[in-house]
Amino acid sequence: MSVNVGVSVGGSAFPGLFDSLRPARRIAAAWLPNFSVNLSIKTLPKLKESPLVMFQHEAGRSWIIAADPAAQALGIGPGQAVADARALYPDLQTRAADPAGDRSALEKLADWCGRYTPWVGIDACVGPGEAGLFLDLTGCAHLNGGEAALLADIEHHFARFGLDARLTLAESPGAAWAWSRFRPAGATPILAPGAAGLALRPLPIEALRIPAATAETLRRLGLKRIADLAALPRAALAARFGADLLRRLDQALGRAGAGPDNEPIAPRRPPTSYSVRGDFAEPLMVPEALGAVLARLLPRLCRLLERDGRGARRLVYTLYRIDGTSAAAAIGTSHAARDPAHLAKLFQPRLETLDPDPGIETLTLEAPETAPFVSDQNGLTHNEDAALADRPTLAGLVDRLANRLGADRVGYLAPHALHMPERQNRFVSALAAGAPTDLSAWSAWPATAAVTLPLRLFPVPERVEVETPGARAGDPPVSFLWRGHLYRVARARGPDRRLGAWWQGESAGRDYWAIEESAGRRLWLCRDLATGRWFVHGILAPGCGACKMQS
Amino acid sequence: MTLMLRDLRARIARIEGFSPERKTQACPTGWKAVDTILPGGGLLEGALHEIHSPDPADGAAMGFAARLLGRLQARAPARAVLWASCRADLFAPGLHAAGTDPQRLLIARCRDSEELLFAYEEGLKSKALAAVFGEIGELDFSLSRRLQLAAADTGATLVLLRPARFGAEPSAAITRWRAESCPGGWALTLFRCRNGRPGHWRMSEKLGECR
Repeated sequence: MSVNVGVSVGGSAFPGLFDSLRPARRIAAAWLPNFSVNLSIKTLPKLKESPLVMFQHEAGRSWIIAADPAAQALGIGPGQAVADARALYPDLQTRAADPAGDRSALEKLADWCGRYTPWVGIDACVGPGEAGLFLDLTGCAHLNGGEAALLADIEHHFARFGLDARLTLAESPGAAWAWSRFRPAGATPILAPGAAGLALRPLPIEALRIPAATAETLRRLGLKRIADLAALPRAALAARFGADLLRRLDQALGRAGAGPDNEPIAPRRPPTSYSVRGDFAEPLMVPEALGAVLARLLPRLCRLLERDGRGARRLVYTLYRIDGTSAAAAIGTSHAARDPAHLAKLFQPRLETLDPDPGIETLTLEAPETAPFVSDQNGLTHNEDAALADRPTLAGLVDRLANRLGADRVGYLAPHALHMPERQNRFVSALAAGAPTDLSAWSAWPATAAVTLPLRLFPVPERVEVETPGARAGDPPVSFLWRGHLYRVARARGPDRRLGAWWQGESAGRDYWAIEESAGRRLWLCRDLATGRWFVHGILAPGCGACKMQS
Repeated sequence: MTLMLRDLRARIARIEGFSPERKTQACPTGWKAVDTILPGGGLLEGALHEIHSPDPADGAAMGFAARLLGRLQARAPARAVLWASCRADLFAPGLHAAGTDPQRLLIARCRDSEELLFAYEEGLKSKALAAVFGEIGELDFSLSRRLQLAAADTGATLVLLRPARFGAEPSAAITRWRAESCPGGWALTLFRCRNGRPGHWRMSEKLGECR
């Protein structure tokens, strides 16, 4: 462990010292390595049929600036003259590069990314024909089913747009950038908070976003990996290569302090008509002010929503600090809501995550997602908000739970017409699109015949070690080892054969047995028909109707 | 004098986690032998109850919880029940076959006991639920008293499943049970009951039969 005291380069004198006090930022980097060719193919799909390059005129000749994967496989790449490449591969397709068009397409894509977060930045460190975006997803993942699900969703949409993309998530733009380009094959795209410092060390120095000339000099000196640089004294590095290299190193390893060196991502707002703001001549310093201002902004926003007969599904409360940084707290609701008291309650736990330091000059409250407001069946027209505030609503509870635990952790079990038990009760998030919060609209469970079923089901059947097999093939074992204990089967009932929908990825089939072991515990055993192996899949309850045994 | 006594009684009840202002009701378990022993003729609503299980592989406590869940659901058909736990292993077809309605079960998957306590308290306070069911290990006395008070305030019943090793620790629960499988059936022990006496029953294979 090293504490970097003594050398002051650029911003803070103690980079990294106070980082642990701040909530970790979560920055996604989206690298679009074939952006230009992807765009060309999108406008003219038949270009996909044979190798494609993009070119630019310079010094009287046409130079290749980008090549699609098919052309790259032939050894064609940036820097070659079009004429030379054509001589070797006559069926090579060429298109004039359109940097202005690419740029405007990228701007549109960045605006579109506002659906995930308002903080979307355009990556300036890209080669010709490439593009990149940064998304500040701090505090956003819980509204989108977690970080992995969020990245997968972005990737899925980019693929639908016909864009090759590599997405990574880390605690700083520098780390996410490096990880998106130089991540070792098979490594996870998500770097947990604090993991970047270690994960990035084996990467080549090019991962630091430094000019090619600097990289070459470093390589000549034998400094090939980030670890090599990190091991050197900071003062010497700064003296020899300038503060820039040190800044890039700190940015990648998550050691940059607050301020511009930390690369705050400027908000990029999609136009929303439901937005209110408060500006302050004297910067707000105390955290309590956040709640007080919110209490003033919420009724104003709710009046805007009421005017249009709408309610908010998502609200973002953003603070802009005097040092040019910003932070935001977001909440989601399960139904269109516009009751200031209810919304304030949802924000309450989130406000603690907002740090006013060194002072707030502007606060905004926006409703990026809204839906028509439906007043309930009782025909409340006026004052329905006041009435709702006091009414015991399940939707209100769902909102509070989902905002604390995460949308993917609050829900209900929905029946599924598949045969394998683990797929019969699907957990559905109560905030998922279209999920009803009205009890009667929840998926009704079909009536089941009184059969032997467990109350607890393991997500994956747990393998048992058969000590003494059953008398006949297919009979449950006489004794078996499970979770380190020996169980002797006293009684058994079965088999209940389940044939899987193998064409939907289920296993071919299992025989289920309800067994009572010698001490009276009842387990749900199954035998995989394909392998003959035995598993415990669930726990049955004695005497609760669902579990009747025969001797 | 009587007034003073009544006031004192009310205060003591309050300290113990009762809310004397609210008329309390009881939800019968449906087992006559058990209900006759319980003050009020059943499980007190608007109160905290604990069911202890000796072993995670033993389903008896879960079976007892499912029975109570079904009974509580039947008493409040328009309300949901929250199930908040760190485990994600409820099997809805089994719960359904055991007489509960999974359609009216809201599930909260928590990560730690802080989130569990948040979910229990929010659930009790919401007034939208008939009952809250949960699974928790460690629960110190002051927290259990807080939950008991929250339950008493809104009338929602809180049932917590806990490992039996916590049975010796103090709790503000109104009743504390232990359910355990035994050959051919299961055993139910009421080892603590506020204003009542303990009991022990052997349950046989068939539903509702006590020995």
